[in-house]
Amino acid sequence: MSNYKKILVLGAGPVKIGQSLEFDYSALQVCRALKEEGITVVFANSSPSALATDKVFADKVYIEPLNIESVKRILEKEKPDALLSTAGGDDSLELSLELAQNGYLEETNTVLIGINQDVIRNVKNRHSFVDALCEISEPTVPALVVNGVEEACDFADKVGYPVIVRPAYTPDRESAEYCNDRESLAAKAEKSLETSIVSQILIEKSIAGWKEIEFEVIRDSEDNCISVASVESIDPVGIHTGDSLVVIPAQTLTDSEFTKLRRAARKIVSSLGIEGSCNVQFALSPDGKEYFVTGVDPRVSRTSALVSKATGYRIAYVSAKIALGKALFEIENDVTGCTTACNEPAMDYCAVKFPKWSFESFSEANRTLGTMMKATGESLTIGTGFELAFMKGIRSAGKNHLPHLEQFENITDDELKNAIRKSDDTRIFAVYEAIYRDFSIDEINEITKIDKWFLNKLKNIADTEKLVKADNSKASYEYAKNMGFTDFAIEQITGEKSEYSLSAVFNSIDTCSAEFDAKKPYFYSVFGADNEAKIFINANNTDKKKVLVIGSGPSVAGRTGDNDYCTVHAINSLKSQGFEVIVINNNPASVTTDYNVADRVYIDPLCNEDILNVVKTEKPEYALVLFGGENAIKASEMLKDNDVEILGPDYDFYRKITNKIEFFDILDYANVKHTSSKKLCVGTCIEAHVISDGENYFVPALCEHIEKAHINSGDSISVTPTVSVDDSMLETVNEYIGAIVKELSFKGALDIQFVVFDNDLYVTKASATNTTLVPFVTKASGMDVVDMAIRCMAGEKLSQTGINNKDGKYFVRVPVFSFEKLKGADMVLDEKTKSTGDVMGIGDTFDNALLKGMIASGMRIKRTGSILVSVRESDKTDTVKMAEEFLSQGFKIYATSDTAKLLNSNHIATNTANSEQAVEMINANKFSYVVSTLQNNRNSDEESIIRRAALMRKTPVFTSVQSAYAFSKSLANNNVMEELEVTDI
Amino acid sequence: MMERKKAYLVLQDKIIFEGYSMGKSGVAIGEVVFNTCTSSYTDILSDPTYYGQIVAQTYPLAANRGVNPETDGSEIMSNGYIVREWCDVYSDGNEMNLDDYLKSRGIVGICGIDTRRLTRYLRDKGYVNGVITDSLENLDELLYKVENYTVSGAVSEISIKEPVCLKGENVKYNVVAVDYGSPRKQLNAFLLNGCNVTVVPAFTDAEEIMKYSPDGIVLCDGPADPDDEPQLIDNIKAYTKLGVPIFAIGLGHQMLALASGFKIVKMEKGHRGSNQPVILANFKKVMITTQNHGYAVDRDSVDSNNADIIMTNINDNTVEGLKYKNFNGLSVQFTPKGDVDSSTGFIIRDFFKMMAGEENE
Repeated sequence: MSNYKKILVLGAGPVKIGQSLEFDYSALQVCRALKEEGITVVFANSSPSALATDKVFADKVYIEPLNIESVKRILEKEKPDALLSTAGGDDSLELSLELAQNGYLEETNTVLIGINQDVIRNVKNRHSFVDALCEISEPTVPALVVNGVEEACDFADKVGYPVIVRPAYTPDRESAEYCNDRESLAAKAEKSLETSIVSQILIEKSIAGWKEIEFEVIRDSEDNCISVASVESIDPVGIHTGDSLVVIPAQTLTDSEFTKLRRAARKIVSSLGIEGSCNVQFALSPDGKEYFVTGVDPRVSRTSALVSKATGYRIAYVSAKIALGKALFEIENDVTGCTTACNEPAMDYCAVKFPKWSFESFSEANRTLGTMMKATGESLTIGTGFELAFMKGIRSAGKNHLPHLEQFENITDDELKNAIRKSDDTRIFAVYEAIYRDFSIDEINEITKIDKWFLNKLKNIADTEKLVKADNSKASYEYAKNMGFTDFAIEQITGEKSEYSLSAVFNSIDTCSAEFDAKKPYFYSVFGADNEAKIFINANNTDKKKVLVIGSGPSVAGRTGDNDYCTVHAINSLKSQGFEVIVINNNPASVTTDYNVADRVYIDPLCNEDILNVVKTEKPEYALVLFGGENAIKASEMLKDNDVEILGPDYDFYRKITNKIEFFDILDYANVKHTSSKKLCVGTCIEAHVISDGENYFVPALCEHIEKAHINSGDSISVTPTVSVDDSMLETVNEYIGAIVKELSFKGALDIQFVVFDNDLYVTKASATNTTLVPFVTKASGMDVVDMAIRCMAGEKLSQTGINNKDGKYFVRVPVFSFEKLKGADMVLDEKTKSTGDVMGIGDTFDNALLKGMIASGMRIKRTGSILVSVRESDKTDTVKMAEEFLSQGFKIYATSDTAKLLNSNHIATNTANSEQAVEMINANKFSYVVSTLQNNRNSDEESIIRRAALMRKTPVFTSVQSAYAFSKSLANNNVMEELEVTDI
Repeated sequence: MMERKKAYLVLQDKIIFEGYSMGKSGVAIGEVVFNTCTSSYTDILSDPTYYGQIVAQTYPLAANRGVNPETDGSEIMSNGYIVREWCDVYSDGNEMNLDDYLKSRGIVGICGIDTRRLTRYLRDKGYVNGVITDSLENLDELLYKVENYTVSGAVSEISIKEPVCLKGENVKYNVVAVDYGSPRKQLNAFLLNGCNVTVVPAFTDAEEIMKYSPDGIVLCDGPADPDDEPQLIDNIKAYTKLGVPIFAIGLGHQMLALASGFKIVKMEKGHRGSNQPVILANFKKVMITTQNHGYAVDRDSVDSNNADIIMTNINDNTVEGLKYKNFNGLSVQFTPKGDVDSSTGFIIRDFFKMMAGEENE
């Protein structure tokens, strides 16, 4: 094994679409794996919400921008022996390649481990990727960049139709066109050539409708190689696998197809020289005769996290050990306790992944699914049969217990056929409706290319639904339960509560199909005779009191990992207080479903009936519902009915706070001023995460929002300590919090928001479940904020009170959005949360911290050039101030007509551009920044087009004048990035 | 919910699993073993090591793509088959579903039982006999048969009766394969890599073998107890004196060990599945192998003057491969693959080197 003493691990940055919590889960495992070997772990990530940025397994933590300058500074400061970047996604891989190429690693004698430069180059550059695979005779999808129509047609004739044509080097991947013959190709090629900036087009053989199969392979430096699992997308090629329903293991391959692909996967990994985990993607023709390699990801990924949870095999952990030079058989499988990492997991169940989209938050976004991933999260559900796993998935990713959607129930058959043709987020429901209406399986297969095996499984479900409707017998009830129908679903079908009942028992996920008696299994519900969870509990009995922690399910926009962060902190806190902690959750990316975090894990839906199954088996004394979101809070009543005491705030409390009338009554009674719905107060927003032991309270870090507008607090830029709140106002904040705490007398935490208006303080809202700021507050205060709250819930008293006043550094939280992934979505913020993640900047001054935060969020900083301003009426005073600042720094100002008039009349030299010109200039990359706020009329298309254009050109857009102003000031007061200090928190 | 015929799996300690009939309806007795493969069910059914056994598949969804009677046509060796759920076939090819396939081969099966529960039971007990039956009448009589069930004379039962000559491609070597019942498929590795293979019946003696003037002798895999036929061991002793390189697999490996004076032990837990990790001595090289056996060569009985233990199972430290010193012999517990990409591919290449008179790595 290697002799590395200190290793720098790069994280993945903020949660974004296509890059969810799984990287945090993987990074934690990596840090754990390294720590076990006595290595000093230095971890760098820009997001405060990553659990790996807690100093649990990492010895030193840098919450800094993940770019060359700051990582170079960390290298210089820490001088690590090695750099590990395979747990940080593509961005970190590329960053590590750049660091190596620029010689920065050599300067500090740091070795790149886990992957070598050649591998990164080979898989990230399409050209070398094709060459590398060609060398070992593995086929890739035929594609060619051409300059003319004739050339395009010749190529297509050679590889066969249909083909996809798209302008070369366009950021908009959705501009692809399908051509079924020479004629249509000629026409579309010509059009694409015109739109292409470089007058080139890419022709690619279309493999839409082919099967999509992935293998998760792991290999050590001795060339030992196993395939952890096969993964099959139910939606065929054409829809990103992140947006597909997925099943593990693959179900519809013949033995020879399976063997062929698995062998190819191992060959690729071996010949590319990958040491660690690798995801290999294939497209397999429906007749099974031909395949193409469509992707190779030599790092941990969304799929590796999913596969880890579905099999019990710790892919990221094992990869890290391999990076240190260990062979697979030298790495323990701690689930069985008696085998090693070279045992391929044997599954005796079927795992299904449902994608979860957040289109509710992005109402304008186009819901059509394609090659660009749009899902924000996913659920993992497990059953002995596909049907059970699927039905669990339906209620995990959606609100319904049955695969019906109202929108399809009353449409005609023809309309339904059209609905099946559309590949959007509701298609699976349309397919089910069609099967329910007895459309032929062949016809649905013809239209959707979904394999008949899956369609017939759906038919089994539809037949079960019909059986339940027709036959009220015990036999049909039990049959339906086995197929995954809940009592609630059965009641929906029959219209009445069933007289029968059947509780689930639990099987184990043990990596070995029960071949060995596992030491650390985790569980999923089934219907059968043996309750393995019960057997395990009895065999490992403790006297500890039990707490059931309800997880928060699939990630959605607005939950930027904070729920997960809080849940894991809560678990650790409860464990340290001597409780036995049991978790139920269905999010495979989440750290909460890691079997090494809580004492026991149940991978199941979060519906009352599913939770109750766990309660019946575990018989916990307490439950923690607070961090599971609304769904979990609502389970309080059911839990109480089953003699489980709720730790901390329960549903009653939640309702009291959420109901504005009731809450404002309470405030009135406590003599606390509050905004009413009639008056719109625009002013400085303050947010406090208040912890109370029922009597006293403590605010670890009081935050101020930069934006004055009424946007969701999670979408605002926050700073702590506050920068524009004076002492007397702070006193009022203190006074108000005191009054509220006294009135509500709660144990736990409460998020309270205030606005300063006309030099007066008003409470705008409070929330028991809003934990968006908790990770940030934890990092800024250096205190385990969740632990404090949990201890209060459990009856301990606070040792510190009041508002924490920590002098020294400034901390800025910048939300991160994924608008570029969502065609049609507007970037303007409102009350619905739209951010998907967050980053943090730390600095000696507010300006330094803000600039770092902005850089960490991915913004390209420019210190010269032009800005475009287009703002609404009410912003105009602040606009002048902002434009003045930019102008004074030498920026040229452009503005749309009304705004230009305003600025010119205030003696700010401004060029006028109408929106068409503005878009043209954006496309020509003329602007360093765009400031564009919502116009009075909500559907201002012109504005939205400007913002969208800027987004596609990666020009930074400010949708709030205040944040633009704050940013401009940070530019003015700031030195260059290389001179900003990096800090070990 | 279709109407299905009830069937039962009764284990020797009277544990009853209720399920549905699959394949032929009737009675099948045998040792009940599990297998953790998620695919390759036809390979399992035709594997001679399952001779006389009832196989339970731990993966719950069996034969999703059915069975192709043309390509998966080998004879079924197991007495019975247990799955949780078999699937009807929806592809347009000529595949049969598992139920029809087993019917066509006259094999008794059962589906719809909790195979995980069964596996846990088998795992804890080690060796269990059982019966698949469509009726619980005369249960005591059945149980008596179950308790007293043993397999004997298996090799003579399933070994070929007359020699067969198989022609390979680009032939360099003549190999004689002594057949203990393994399917022809296992010889493909030799045929594809430059060997003519003469398959001879199990009881062929040394003199007879020399008539084919072989460059090498292969002792094939076969069913169960290596002590079962002393005559075979005596024959093998004679083979080792012929000066011809010997390569032995599975049952052949165990009988070769017996012929060399080593001992065989019944394992506490058999190796049942496709993910058995085997490590090469002195290397950090692991092979992932498919196995089904309950006997192994006793590690302590291996005389280091006569043989080196060159391969070991990582999970339980059992002997997986031997290199002989007193004659030119190599033997492994599992079936090595012939293709270059496979982690076990080098083993057959080593045997080729032995035939060519080269030293192995």
